[in-house]
Amino acid sequence: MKLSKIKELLQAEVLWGDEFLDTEVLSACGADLMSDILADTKVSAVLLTGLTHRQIIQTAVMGDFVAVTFVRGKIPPKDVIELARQAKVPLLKTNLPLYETCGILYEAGLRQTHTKDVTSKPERAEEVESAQTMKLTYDILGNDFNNAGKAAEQAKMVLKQIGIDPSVIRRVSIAAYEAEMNIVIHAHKGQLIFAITPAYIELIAEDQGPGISDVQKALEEGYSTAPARIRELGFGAGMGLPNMKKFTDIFEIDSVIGKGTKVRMVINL
Amino acid sequence: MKAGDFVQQYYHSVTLDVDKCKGCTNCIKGCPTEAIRVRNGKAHILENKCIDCGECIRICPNSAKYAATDSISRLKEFKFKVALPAPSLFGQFKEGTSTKNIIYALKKIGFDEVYEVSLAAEEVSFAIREYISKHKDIRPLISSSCPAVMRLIQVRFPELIKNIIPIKSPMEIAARRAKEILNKEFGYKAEEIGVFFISPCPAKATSVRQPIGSDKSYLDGVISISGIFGDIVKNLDGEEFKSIFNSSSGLGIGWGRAGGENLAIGGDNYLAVDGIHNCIEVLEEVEMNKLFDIDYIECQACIGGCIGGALTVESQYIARVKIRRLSEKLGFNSSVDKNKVVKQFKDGYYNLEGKILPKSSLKLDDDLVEAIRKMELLEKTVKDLPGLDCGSCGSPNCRALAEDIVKGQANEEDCIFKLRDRVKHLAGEMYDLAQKLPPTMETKER
Repeated sequence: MKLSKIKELLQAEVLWGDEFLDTEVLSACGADLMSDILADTKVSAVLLTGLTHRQIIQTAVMGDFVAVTFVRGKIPPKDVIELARQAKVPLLKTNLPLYETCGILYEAGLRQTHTKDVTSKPERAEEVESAQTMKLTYDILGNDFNNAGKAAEQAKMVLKQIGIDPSVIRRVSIAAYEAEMNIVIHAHKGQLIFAITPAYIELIAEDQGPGISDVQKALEEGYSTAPARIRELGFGAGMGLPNMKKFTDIFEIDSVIGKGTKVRMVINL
Repeated sequence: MKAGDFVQQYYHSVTLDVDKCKGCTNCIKGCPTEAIRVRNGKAHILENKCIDCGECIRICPNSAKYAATDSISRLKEFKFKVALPAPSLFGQFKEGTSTKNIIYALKKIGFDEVYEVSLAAEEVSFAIREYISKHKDIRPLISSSCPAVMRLIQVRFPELIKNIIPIKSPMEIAARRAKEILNKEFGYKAEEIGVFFISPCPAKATSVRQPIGSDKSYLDGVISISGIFGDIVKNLDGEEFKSIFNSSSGLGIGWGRAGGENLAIGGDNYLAVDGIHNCIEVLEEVEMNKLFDIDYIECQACIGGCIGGALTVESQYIARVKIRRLSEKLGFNSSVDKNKVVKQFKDGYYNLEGKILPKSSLKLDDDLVEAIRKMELLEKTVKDLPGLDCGSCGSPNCRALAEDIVKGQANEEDCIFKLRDRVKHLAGEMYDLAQKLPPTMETKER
């Protein structure tokens, strides 16, 4: 389906990018959560969203979206349109809500679910990976207080060398440090994985450990299940998860009792 | 911050004596900010990374590193000459030497007056105490007294610039007071008065030429303790000189050693850190928000504090005892009027008037995408290097070499192990080639 057809179906208005109306669109992604958009893996898709900030454009570029359509009649600020112009991402606007927008396009046959397949398009995937994302992986051992904090410290140095804004580095390193300490205090072992891109930094802390029985409670400031032995060392103040949440833009936690915990955090640049 | 902001060349007191440098790798290994490389058989100081801490001066076995300071002959340039002895100077001489003996000696050497920096340190202590009690939003606050630490924060911990207490150092306050009083009492104009700091370290010399957080220093020069030591020792035989300035108490003298600053400020939630490597460790912790419950950190680049400075003469351990005894002897009742300090503090007398700017030296590239690419390459390059951190390549460790390679300032073959691998590979290939015979001979051989 051509972009011009989408424009017609949604009675949309082109905010920028008339010359791109011939672009072939295979699929669409409708979401108002950055993390969902980032997780989308469809090829040649149009992004349908009600978000109008700069990160949307950056994310659209990163996710290889061929166009962005703003729903609910939202119009982004001028600088965002300018950013899209520079990034060559056409922008459309429709007055329809997200649900209906998705329905109309799906009905019209825009339902291809091809994902970005690494094996079928090796050079392209490779390029996307190496040009824009850098991964750092650190193994963390439970109860290893000698090395506790080292991963966060090393990652911080890398971020400084890349030239990330100091205030962002501070937020990332606080979140990373707290995540690392949680693994050392509570789990058997785990990993801290950083993905650094020009638009955001993603931090995943995954462990094999006891899991968290009451996640909501654990997110309360001052609530801790750390044993007295750990508290005597000055840790376990119950600020770990709350700090991680406080200093990051996206915070997702998934915990299974007896198996482990996975925390995913994103800090936008 | 634009790249152009860094263009201005930075003045450094720490300098290399090219003739004495043998190109060994002692200094590159000891430099806390990895600011030295050995190239073409000589050490090179990377201007944007050096913080003038003086570690290399201590380490160099050939005395090829020195601190550029002023010679005593510069006194001639001024009508009225004032010496500003650092508190640490008082710990350099044999037991029983009084502050008055030392002040007398300075007078005999050619100074007209002596203003003890320790006296200004007492004022500054009260001003810091006032600042800490009035500003509760940022914790921990970090002392501004050690210029090497200030510069360390600028180049490596830019996020912590806001934690630096924006109050001038005792050296600057002493110079300001001296000039004001001499102008009032004798009518000397500021430019007629030459104020010289008697310094334990090169970083102070740099900070006078290039003040941090201020446009211009109140000082006119810096003379090293080691440079003036011999002249002082010869003239310690009296104490009858009467200065128009007040004398300091043990409170200010104590600033010469690690922990003395905190003692003078008087608080119980303070930290004293000495030694540049220890300072880095603690600043890392501050950056990770681990020390948010501490009020104030006294960070000093030299082990033992200023008495451990690279330009001192006496062992810091002995000097430490001397400073302590001298402080106890003088007592801890300061002649400084606290209420006056508080009033002048409100008027901004002690404030650093300028902004402290970040001077990040770590960035691989101004373009973020390019920087990420370089960083990936760096990580990959490090993995390929032997990891012995031997320094034979002229970079302090394998990681620094990888950084230099990525920046285009070194090659992989600069690593002798990498070079050996290549030679081995080439030799193998040569051997294989040597085995090859023309087809005419081949059958014969078989």
